[in-house]
Amino acid sequence: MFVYEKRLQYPVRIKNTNPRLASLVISQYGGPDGELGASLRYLSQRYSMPYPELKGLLTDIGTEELGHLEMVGTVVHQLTRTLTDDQIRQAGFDAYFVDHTAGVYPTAASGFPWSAAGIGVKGDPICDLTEDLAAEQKARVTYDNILRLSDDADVNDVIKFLREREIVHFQRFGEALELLRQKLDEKNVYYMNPALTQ
Amino acid sequence: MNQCTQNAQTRAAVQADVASSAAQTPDTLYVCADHDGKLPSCAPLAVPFVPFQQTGANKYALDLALARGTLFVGLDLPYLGMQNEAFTNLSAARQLQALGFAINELGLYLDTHAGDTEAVALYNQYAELYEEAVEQYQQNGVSLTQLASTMGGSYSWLNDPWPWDYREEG
Repeated sequence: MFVYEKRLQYPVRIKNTNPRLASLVISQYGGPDGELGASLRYLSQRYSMPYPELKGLLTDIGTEELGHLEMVGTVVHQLTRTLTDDQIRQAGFDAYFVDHTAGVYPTAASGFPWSAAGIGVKGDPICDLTEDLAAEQKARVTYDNILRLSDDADVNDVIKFLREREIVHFQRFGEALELLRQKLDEKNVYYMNPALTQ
Repeated sequence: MNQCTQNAQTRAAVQADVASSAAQTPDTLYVCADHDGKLPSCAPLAVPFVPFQQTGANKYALDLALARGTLFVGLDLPYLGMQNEAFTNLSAARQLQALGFAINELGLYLDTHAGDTEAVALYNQYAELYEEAVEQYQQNGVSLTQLASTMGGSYSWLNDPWPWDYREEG
């Protein structure tokens, strides 16, 4: 089960509101490579993982991603916490405002609501861990892109932290893949699906 | 003996020779820089490989680790040189975050390096400090968990601020 700790993993303190920037950052809340998808991908892949290292890593990274979801939600909330009429009418935020006001809704920056179509749970350990490597790269690039688009130092401070976590997670998933490989048939790692033989 | 095993043994012998001149941990067969990792000398085709991080990797101090988003110097790979500086004022909240982060980071490391007893010892050291930091943090009527929120005889769980609230300080 999960128990809530009433704190963020990393401090978020955004001095200036900026709804236009919020409508971009929200992609990491509910977009195709965002933190909601990341946590659900890993926490869902756990069930068919055959080895304890893989169960543990997916549990722990999946849990950390929930903390990142909270951080991104906090960035979006603080960027929209007080809004002038002019800010609400800003291109890029008006369409969001009409549907969600200043609520934080899991959607991509492009307007597409969060979808499980953006995550993969195949039930084969090599396949799922390879998906996870790609997922960490996609999230890392999204954060790169936000850093290019944003000139808000308070937002970028948080984004740099989140981006670096993607690199560390990539490393760990890569190591998990190697630990998995060592348990498979050395002449043919695709001889069978170890998720089905436990 | 196949060609690959032979090559690996030759390479290992050369590297062991180099390693013997420096102070190396026993499991460091390959001599890699801190930002490099280990790969198997022979590897099956058609599977992705990420180098395995070595044991004893260089680590940042706690406050810098939190700022950079990793405890490990070799994994700190910023975009366009954009790096956060270490926190200058370590409040009770920030200390809690820094220790919590180091524990989190070491936990992921241990998931793939379960045999690294030095990392387990460091984890224990940080865990003990974390418990102290939690106590410190909760002294001002702030509760980290609902379970801890009633210890003063009243229900403090609902007290502001909540983590997403904007605050100038704290």
